[in-house]
Formats: sequence, C-alpha cells, structure tokens
Amino acid sequence: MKRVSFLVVMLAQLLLSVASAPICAYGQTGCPLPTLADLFDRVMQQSSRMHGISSDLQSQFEHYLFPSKNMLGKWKCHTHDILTPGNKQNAQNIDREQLTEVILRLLGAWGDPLSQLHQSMRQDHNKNHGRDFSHSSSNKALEMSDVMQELRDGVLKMAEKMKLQGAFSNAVAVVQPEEARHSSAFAFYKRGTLSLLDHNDLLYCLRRDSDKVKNYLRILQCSTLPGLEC
Amino acid sequence: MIFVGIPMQANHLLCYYWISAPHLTWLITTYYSADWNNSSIKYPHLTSCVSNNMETFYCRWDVGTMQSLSNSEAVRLFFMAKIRLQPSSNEWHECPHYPPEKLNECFFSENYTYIWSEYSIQLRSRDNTILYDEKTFNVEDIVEPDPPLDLNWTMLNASSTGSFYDILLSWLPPPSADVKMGWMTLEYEVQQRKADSEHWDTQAELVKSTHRTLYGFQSNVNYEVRVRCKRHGGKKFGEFSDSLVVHVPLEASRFPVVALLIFGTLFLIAIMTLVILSQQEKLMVILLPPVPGPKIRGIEPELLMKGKVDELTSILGAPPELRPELYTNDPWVEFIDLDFEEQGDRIVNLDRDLLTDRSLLSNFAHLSIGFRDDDSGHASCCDPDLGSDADTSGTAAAAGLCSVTSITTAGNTPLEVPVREAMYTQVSEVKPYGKVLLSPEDEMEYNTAKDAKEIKTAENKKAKYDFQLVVSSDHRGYTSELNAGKNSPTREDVSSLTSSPEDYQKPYHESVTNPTSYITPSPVYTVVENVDRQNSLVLTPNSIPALVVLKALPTTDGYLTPDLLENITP
Repeated sequence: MKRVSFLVVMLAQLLLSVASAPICAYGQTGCPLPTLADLFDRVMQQSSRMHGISSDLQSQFEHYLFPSKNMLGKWKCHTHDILTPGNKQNAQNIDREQLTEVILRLLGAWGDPLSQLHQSMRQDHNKNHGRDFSHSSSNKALEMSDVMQELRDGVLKMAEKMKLQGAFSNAVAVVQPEEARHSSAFAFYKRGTLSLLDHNDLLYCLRRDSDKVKNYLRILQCSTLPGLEC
Repeated sequence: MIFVGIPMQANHLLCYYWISAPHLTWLITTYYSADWNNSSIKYPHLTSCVSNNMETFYCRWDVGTMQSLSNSEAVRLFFMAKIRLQPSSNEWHECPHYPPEKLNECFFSENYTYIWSEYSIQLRSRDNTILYDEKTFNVEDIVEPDPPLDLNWTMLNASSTGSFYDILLSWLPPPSADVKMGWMTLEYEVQQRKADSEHWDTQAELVKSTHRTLYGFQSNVNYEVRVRCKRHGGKKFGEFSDSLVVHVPLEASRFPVVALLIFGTLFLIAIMTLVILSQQEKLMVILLPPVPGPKIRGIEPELLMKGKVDELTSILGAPPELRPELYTNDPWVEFIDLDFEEQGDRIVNLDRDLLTDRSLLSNFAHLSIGFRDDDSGHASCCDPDLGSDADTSGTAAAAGLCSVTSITTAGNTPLEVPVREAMYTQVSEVKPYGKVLLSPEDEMEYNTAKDAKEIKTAENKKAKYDFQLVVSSDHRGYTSELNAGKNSPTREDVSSLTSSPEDYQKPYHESVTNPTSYITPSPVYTVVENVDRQNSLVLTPNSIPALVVLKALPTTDGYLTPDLLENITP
C-alpha cells in the first residue's frame, strides 16, 4: 500500500512536472511564447494546488495531533515581517508592483523551509515515528517544495512580462527577495528538538501564506488583464 | 499556574486554568456538566462567526436557558486579534459594535476585520467574572458567501421528439462579494430536482463561471434549480439561492409521430382483417389443408384386440368394393379373382339370429351401408364396444354397430338378440345394396334353440380366442381354424395353404372341393359340441348332416379366408 501510494505520487509528480514544464522564455524556434494570460492561468493553477496541498497536510497534522480540537494559540510565522495587505482596502491601495513584490517575497521565503520540512519528515518516517500518514505527508512535502519552486519561477517570468508590457507604472525592477533570511527560516519554528508540533506550526503558516499568494495573484490578474471574467 | 474553579450549581463546575509561559498564555476552560436533573441548563455559548464578503464578519451567541441574560448588557464579547504592527494586538478588546436591531450579535466592520489574522473571541459575563465561551479562528476560514442572484435559464436544444431538452442556467454572483476586483473567487454548486421530489440532485463539479448547462430535462415536468457558492479554496458553502422553476410544455404542434404510428397500425390491421374475411375459404385451404383420413389397409388392430370377431369379419366380408383394398398389400394373400363380384355381393357374416330375424333383415342394408370405407375416416367409427353384450355381440357386425344402434326406425325391435330358437338358414346372396337373401325355410334345418344358441355363443367365444390365436401367432392372419364343418381339406391343401402349426390343421375340416362354384343349395350344418384341448372344434356327428358344404370357396388350393369359414358354420 505504501509503495503503491508512493508510486502514484511520483507518477503524479512526473506528470505535473511535464504539465508545468518551464516556459520557453528565450523564444526558441518552434516554441510558442506564452501570453500573459497563459502565464497567469498557469500560475493560478499552481497556487491553487499549493494551497490545496498545504491545507490537506495541515488538517491531517492537526487532526493527528489535536484530535479533541482544543483551543491553542498559534505561533507567529517566520514571514510575519513581510507587510501584506490584510484587508480589501489595503489591497486596493497597493499598486501592482508592490503587490508583485510581496508575492515574490512570500514565495521566496518559503523555498528553503519547505525542502527542510520534507527532509525532516522523511527522517521521521525513517525513524518510524508515525503511522502511514507520515510517509504520504513527506511525499506531499516534497511535492509542495517542488510546486513552490515552480510557482516562484512562474511568477518571476510573469513579472518580467508585465514589465515588458508596461503593466507597471514605474519601471521599478522587481526586487528579489533576500536570501539571508532563508537559513534561519526553518529554525524559526524549532523549539529545540524537532517535533511534530513544529511541523504543525509550519504547516499552519504555510497554509495561510499560500492563501495570501493565491488571493494576491487573483487581484493582480483582475487588475492587469482587461475583459477577464472577474 | 492559577486555578480557579467556579461551581455554577451543585452539578456543574466551571474550571479555569491559566497557564503562563514565556511565549504562550493559554486559557483552558473545562466545563463539567452532569445532568442529574432532567432539566439541563444551557449556558450562553457562541453559535457562529461568519463572514459573508471577506471584509466584515459577525459573531452570534445564544444565551441558553438563562433568560435573565437576554439583554446585551449581560453578556459581553471580547476579542483579541493578532494584527501585526498594531500595538494593541495582544489585548482584549470588547466588541466594536453590537447591532441594535439584532440580538446577541457582535459585528466587526472593515476596520476591525483583518483577513489573515487570528482572532480569539470570548463570551464573558457582564462583570467579567465568568467566561462562558471562547473561539479562535482566521477570518478567511469562516467565509460563507451570500447566495447568487437572478437565476434564469434559456433553452439550448431539444430532442427530436420534443420530450427532452437542455438548458443553460445563468446567474449573478452575490453583490456583497467583490469578484470584480478579484478579492473573492467564488465556486458555484448547482442543484436540481423535480418539483414533486424531496431529494435534490447535485451536480458533481463546481463551476467558477456564472453559468452552467443542465441536461436531460423532460417536457411537461416542473423542475426546480438552485445555486450556492463558496470561496475558492474555502470549506464552507453559503446559503442557497431562491429556487427557479423550469418548465417546458410539450409542443402539441409537432407532428404526432406516435398517433400516426398507432393509426397506421390500426389501418393495416383493418385491411388485413378485410382481406382475411373475404378470402377466408381460400386462406383456410392454404393454411389448413384438410387432412385425409386414414385408409384401412389391414385389419383394424383395435377390433382385434377387443376380440370382436364378428365385427372384424364383417369388415372383411364387407361390401365387395373394399375387398381389393384389404387384400392387395398382404404378400401372402394372393388375390384370386373374386367370384364375389360375379356372383354378387358377399354376405356379411352376421349372427344367425340376425339372419333369421326377418324383421331385422331390412336392417342389413343399413348395416352394410353403415360400414363404408370412405376417405372420411369413418371406418373405425364402428366401435366394438357397442357389442359388449354377449347376446348382442352377434347382432351387430362391427360395421353395423354405428348405424345399427341408431336404427330404431320402422318400429323395428332393438337389436338385442331376440330370445328365440336358434334357426339356421343359409344366406344365398347379399345384394349390392346390402339386402341379404336367405334360402327358403324348408331347406333349413333347425337345431334346438338353446343348444344352438349356447353353442353359438360358445363358438363365438371360442372363435374369438381361436381367431385371436390365429391372428397373433400367424402373420397371415387369415387362416382361420374356425371350422364348424367336418369336412377338412386335404392335407396338402392345408399345407399348401399355410405353414401354420400342426394343431391348427386338425379342425380344418373343410374340404375345398368346389372352389369356383357356389355351394349347392342344400346347406349342411353341424353343431359344435365342444372344443378340445387343442383348440379344435369337435362337431357333433350325425345330428345334422355331416357334410358341411363350403358355402363358397372361390380360392384355390383350399385357401380359406375367414369369411369363408364363417359361412361354413352350421
């Protein structure tokens, strides 16, 4: 059963990787350049997927750890210092460049922690910590890590295209997220020894941030593309 | 760790634990309740916290059974929102707005709503001493959109008969949800049902667009459809919209195919009926050709089984036109030219009583007529059963039974054998029309009635047996050992006749002397005394003229047919 699910996941991953092949941005011959709408669609799909996986994982963990649904305060997320528009008013006031920057920062902040999460989950599985679900969850963590990476690349390309097309009012270069914060990102959640609680907190934050990214991308899409069915 | 336990009543206990930690301040509330009494007291509790548009939200509570707390002053709601960059994030604040028109509700406006932030809501008593309920959530998780509006449908296409159609259902998103900006992304779920059904059928897939095609609607049936939506990526659906009634009447102007088919079928049936009725006889001939009746080629086996010798012999001695048919297929029966045809009709061997009963003479015609071998298959109508009575057995030949029983005309006496003296006479000839001519009386010789009769019956019975014996054992079947006469044919005659066993030869008294001529008018009869153990008849000597003249022996070589033998009886 485990092997079957593992195979299925790997196969799905292969398919997905094929489906979300890198867009040929260099204009190679025989490779049609995607439009901005295509880019947006693809990015939206991946962010939805991202959000779905993280929600599943997080609810799994929560159910496993806290079956009685106690009221526990959630920990702060390591991305708490990224200013994100929390309500519609703020989101309306922010402009596209800033929104794109926020998205990219968020995505960049999660690249490293996800791969570390996957590794630690795999270690847990090897140590026979958990039940069957830890195996599938480590696969999901791997999947999430890959999707996150692809999503980030896609948004980067999309931002470049938007800049080319003059969607940004000021020709401000898209800020690349800092790399320095990544090393401590995962450590942010550690409370000492690695435990499942850490995983749970991380997943909770991941779910929230993926929801933010999805929403911001939608706002960006509706404001950038005219005539879209928004 | 501080512990406070507040007994509410004798059977309730509310315990509070405050746990302080560097990073966490947890408040654990444990509520013990035991319903020893049937009347359970329900304390105020939060019923729901819902956001309709992801911009504002409200929380509602229920005061439970404590009616004294129904006014909003008695119960207070506090919240704590972890909002970044707000200094008062970690403090409890009271509800920003208690809507006056609604009871037990706290409304959070846009200024107080932060989407991806964690809220803690507490329901406390007025004096802040009692904590009734608490809840923690993120606003994006409690979003339940308003129902869609303005459902309408258009017909897409219909089936060729007009009984089924597809519709395109479209609607407007709820106005409260800002989908234009992309702030909310909605997914819609469509449900449908027939108007009289209780169960709603749900379309499996959620659509992001504001329209959906529904297939397979029946004409003349009322349907209801309704839509609800949820946030894309969320868990909770909003309320359903108002139901829309879909109804398409069955078009009557369409070509009535069904009616046409029925009418055409009926028309065809009518035409066919007319044809059948008019051509009935021809059709009957074609469909049901008349079955030809059986032609009797041999002896009716039923007659043989029943042992009705007389009937059988009557058949065999039947009107001369039948005889060729009787004999032609038998290999051993050489068809010798029948002088019967020349000399007239052969006599049907009838019982003597019948013969002598002149009053019954007229019936002979009927008897012979009654037995007719025609194609109608009436040959076997002569039921041997009719002659079951021993007395009457001889009265009717098999042939005559059918007609004889029906003959009661002319005041003839019924065909029971009249109890009378046995009289013997000789039948001189049988006319073609069936009349039997007897020899004059003075030539007859009489026996005592009783003896004759007894003997006759015994003879008949024996004859039956013998006849049966003959028939069963001897394939030829015609060598009748019945032989009342003393004259036996010569041995060579016998042997030439048949290869039947020896014991049959004994009683063979007949002498085939005059094969081609009729018997002399002087009849010779003898009476059978008894039957010896070899089943041969022993005749009384000298009581009657011993000679038994063969009535007619048309066959050569002493070949005797049963009818011939019968005629030899005294």
